Amino acid sequence: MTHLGFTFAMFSDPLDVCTILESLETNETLHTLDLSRCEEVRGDGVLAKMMDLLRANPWLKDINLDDTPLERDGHAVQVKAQLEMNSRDYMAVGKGMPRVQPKFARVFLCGDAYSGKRLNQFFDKYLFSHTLEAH
Amino acid sequence: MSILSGLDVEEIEVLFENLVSHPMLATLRVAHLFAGINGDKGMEIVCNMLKNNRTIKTLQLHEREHMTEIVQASLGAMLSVNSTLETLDASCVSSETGVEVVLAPLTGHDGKPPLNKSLKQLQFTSWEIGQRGARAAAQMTH
Repeated sequence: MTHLGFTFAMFSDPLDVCTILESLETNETLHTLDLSRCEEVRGDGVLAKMMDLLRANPWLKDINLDDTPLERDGHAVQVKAQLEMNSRDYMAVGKGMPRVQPKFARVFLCGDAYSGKRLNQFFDKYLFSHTLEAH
Repeated sequence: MSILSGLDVEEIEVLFENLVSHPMLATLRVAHLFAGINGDKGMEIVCNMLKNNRTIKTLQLHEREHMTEIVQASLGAMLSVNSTLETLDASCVSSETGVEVVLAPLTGHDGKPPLNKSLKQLQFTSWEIGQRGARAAAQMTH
């Protein structure tokens, strides 16, 4: 699951929002969480949980807080800043690492099960021929 | 497939029953339904026909009224079987159990993997989530 949205949804309590945020701390697949227009996205408890989540989970790229009490109170800026910091940290992982010549590669072929012969020809001509040359 | 018209419930039922055997379903990728017009029976038929469809990627539902338990159950049953649907965008008013029913196929139980592994994007708009819905969502994302 890469996108989970609860736009204009009715939570009974901010604690419900906290339950979801807490569960996402170990989630490695979700990129977008949409909580826009949810009135229960409010208070220090929700904000604290959201910041905890963003410190624990670097895979989340966006949390939509449009038209929530949290945004109206000016706290969405904090959340956006943490998201940007996570994104910068992620990009910085490979910085300064020496470049080396690859010795082997693993190729995953994904796509349409009925892809035509043009794709096969492409792999034959460019990919497999290079692999043979390298070895 | 986009269905929006002033047909009454009986006409919609006939339309959907004819659609089940229509050749266009073999290539259907996006279904955009204004479910409030189609009624419970219409939605049930659509969910049943999508169960074994192998091309559908996106299902958008715009229910203008309350989504009944029959529709929620049909949606859950469809998600348990369908293996190609990647996006579900459901905009409606639901009961608190609605989210639980829809998310059940996406959650593994007793060490067993979830029945649905294809869904990538899930959007609930205007749904009543409540405690039960939040717990179901937490189980799914955990």
